[in-house]
Amino acid sequence: MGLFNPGSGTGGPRARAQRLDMLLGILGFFTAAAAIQTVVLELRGDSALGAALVLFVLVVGTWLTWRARRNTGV
Amino acid sequence: MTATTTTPSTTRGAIQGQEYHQKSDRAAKIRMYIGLAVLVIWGLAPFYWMVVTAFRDVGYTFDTTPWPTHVTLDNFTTAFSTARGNHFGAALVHSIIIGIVTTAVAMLVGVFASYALARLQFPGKYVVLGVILGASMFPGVALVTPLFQLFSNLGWMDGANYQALIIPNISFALPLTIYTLTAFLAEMPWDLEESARIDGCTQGQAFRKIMLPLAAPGLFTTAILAFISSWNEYLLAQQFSTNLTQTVTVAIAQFTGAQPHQEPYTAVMAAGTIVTVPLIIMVLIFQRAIVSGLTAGGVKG
Repeated sequence: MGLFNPGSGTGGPRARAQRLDMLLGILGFFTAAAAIQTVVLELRGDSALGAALVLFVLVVGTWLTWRARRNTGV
Repeated sequence: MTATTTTPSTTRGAIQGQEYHQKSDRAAKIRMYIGLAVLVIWGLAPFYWMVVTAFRDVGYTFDTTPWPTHVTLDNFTTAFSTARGNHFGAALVHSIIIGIVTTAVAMLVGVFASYALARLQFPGKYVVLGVILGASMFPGVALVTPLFQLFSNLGWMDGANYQALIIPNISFALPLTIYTLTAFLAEMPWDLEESARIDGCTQGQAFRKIMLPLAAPGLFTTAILAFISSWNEYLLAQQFSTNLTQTVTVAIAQFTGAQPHQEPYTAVMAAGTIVTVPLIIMVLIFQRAIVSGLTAGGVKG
């Protein structure tokens, strides 16, 4: 089992949890970046609609991943 | 009584089978070498053409002869000449400084981070790996404008502020360093570390005295990769460098010819050839360390 390809070739709940953890990290990073951008745009008084929509999509994606992670039971 | 003697026909068949396998092996080897030759030629052809053009007289820049003709060293003199406002020599020094500092910091931080990720079990370990992967996915061009504004406010866009180039370079080299080293350290025999612990070493001592020397091949390979990524970086260097911190990639891009709008191709090729020299020297120096590290010790019994 490779460190960067956790649980490759296996379908166990631990492997699935590790894969979801990794996805959570990637999505979390981009969600944090989008959140910072949206807040900065709002504070400056610039148009933040695009940034807010991107943030919304990322937050939903992160939440769905988190829920799937929790359901693995690991 | 059952006959176990081999008949002439079965012997002939076995020999034919052996010959068939030998021929098949030979054909596979020939195919492999042809494939490798194509790959090597494909990879080295642009480099070869750069070297050939670097040694060609400026009047024969577009000569298509595949071997060196009208050989001269004038292009190398032109590359280092400051008469036309080019500062290639100084840019080489700047690139070396930036590359060495970037590599040193990225390696220092990367070694500890990758050791923790490869060796320790802690909650959220794979989340951290995901964040590192996400950081390495982040497009560099998206950082140019905010970093330019930030560095301008900090007053780093004037004078010899190497940190304006080193800090962004580290942020790009660090994920690469952590990834490469973590993959390498994860494959190492941890029994050695446990043996050192049994012999009385602390975890830090076992890491420093046992694991690090064994990880030398991975460390040197990663250091080379980090240095090359910093050495070849153009996008950020083009935006954040001043005349006092200009890197080689920017200096070559700004080469000016004898007349306006004239691109000095031969001088650019000569500069390109010079730029590859430190990388080749570095690989040659580290090659010995890589090989010695590969053959150093192991678990017995």
